[in-house]
Amino acid sequence: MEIKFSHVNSKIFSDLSFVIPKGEIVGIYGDNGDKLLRLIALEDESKGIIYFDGNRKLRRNYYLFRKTIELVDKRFNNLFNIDSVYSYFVTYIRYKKMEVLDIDKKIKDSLRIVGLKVDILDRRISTLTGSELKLLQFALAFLSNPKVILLDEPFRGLDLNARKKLVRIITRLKDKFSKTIVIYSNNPNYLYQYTNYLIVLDNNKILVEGKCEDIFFDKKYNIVRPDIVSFIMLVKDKKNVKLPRRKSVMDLIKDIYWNVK
Amino acid sequence: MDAVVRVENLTLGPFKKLNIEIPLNSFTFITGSNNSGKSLLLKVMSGVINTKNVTYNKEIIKSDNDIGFIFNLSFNFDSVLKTIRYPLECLGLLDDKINVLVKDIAKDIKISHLLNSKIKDLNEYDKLKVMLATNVINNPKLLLLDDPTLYLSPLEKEDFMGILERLRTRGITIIISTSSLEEVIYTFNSNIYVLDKGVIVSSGEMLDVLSNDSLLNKVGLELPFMVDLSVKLAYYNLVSNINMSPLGMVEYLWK
Repeated sequence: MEIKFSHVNSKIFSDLSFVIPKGEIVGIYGDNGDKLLRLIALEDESKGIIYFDGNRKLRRNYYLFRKTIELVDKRFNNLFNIDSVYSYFVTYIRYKKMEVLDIDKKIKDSLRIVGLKVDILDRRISTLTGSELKLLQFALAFLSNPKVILLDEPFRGLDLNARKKLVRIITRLKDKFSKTIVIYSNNPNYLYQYTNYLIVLDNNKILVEGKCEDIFFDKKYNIVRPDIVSFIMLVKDKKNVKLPRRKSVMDLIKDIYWNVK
Repeated sequence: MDAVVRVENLTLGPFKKLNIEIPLNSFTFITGSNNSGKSLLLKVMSGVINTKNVTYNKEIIKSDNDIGFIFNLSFNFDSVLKTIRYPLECLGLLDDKINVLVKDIAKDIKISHLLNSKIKDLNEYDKLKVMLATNVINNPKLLLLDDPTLYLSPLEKEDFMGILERLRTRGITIIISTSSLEEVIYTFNSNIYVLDKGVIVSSGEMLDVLSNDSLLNKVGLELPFMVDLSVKLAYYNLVSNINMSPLGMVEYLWK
């Protein structure tokens, strides 16, 4: 789903205009990016023109769009004060008014997608570890089969293996089921590695939007860059040696090796 | 050096006969993969989970008030000033003395400008600093932080580690659990323990542990960029030691 904001105002932001393109993993970078996610999820009030796939959001039809968007928050907050994982899933399905024939199968499928074991259903939420809670959040979000998935700091607290797995899931959702995925992170390294399209906020306005690589390599913008990008730019600056744009350190090392030799 | 906390023969959750000793006035990181027991170990060391396997140095830690533990950012009051004052009010100090102490700590932790604001208006990092202030205002001797830097940006991480480093010079022993290694490089003389499924797989001085990249990657930890670059360049014999400054590295490589 393509989302288009034009001249949208809210409590925090003024005159926002941007497009979230279809079939890309979109990153949001800059202060208050999490508030922007809330605006896209229609959780915060806004005034202005918003299109979802060419249909304008109005007061009388906004619940239609609200249903197709799922926001995965930074932290897990227990909506119903239920401690059992299984009852939480069942209550969540009822709360979201999903029509499900086989609840157990649906829950197990969702758990399998994110790589949690089924025996987690017998456990209590208060005994889960940080990463298990994070994966539980994703499992809940995937239940309703949303068209737009908004992720607030999804990679924090996950180790390398769990993160790689999550990226695989996200990429598959994007490619196979053409979901729109928006990621907010204040760590530029993650955005550079995992997103293709970037929207940069500065002073509660849109600074720039465009291809992730081009923005980070552009000298014009005064933003904190990923470590690897700053290094490549520093080499160009100090020694006038042009290294190719790389995403992994392994590739960079080879370039440096051939260059220094 | 004397130990502040000593954990002996701990068998709980993922741990089997774990031994760990935290020296006085040290800066210790506990890191590891997901579900390796980082938070559990901190809970045990802070006394939140009661076991017989933990012993404190009685001369330094006389009561529970000498241990601070930050594990989440939930506040009881909405006003920043009230939140910071509360631990002192509980001790029954005089109003004048409280005001002086609050002003001091606010200056140390760089939150003087926030004292009159509301908690709900603060961002993630300011909330963390307020939480830190409430925990160190009654001068604990041991401070434990459960993944404090999880949602901070790289710049904020550097700043926060600077604040903690200054607190350490006042005689506070600091133990941090962390799921990424980014913040580790902003400290000096810190020790690292790497956990994997409840077993300590590596421990020691910061740079010694970091230079073993194959082990850390196997555990599932990502090295900070400059360390990663140095370690991998060392394989090709291009550098000999870990260089933290990008500029120094560039000058060295293209000399």
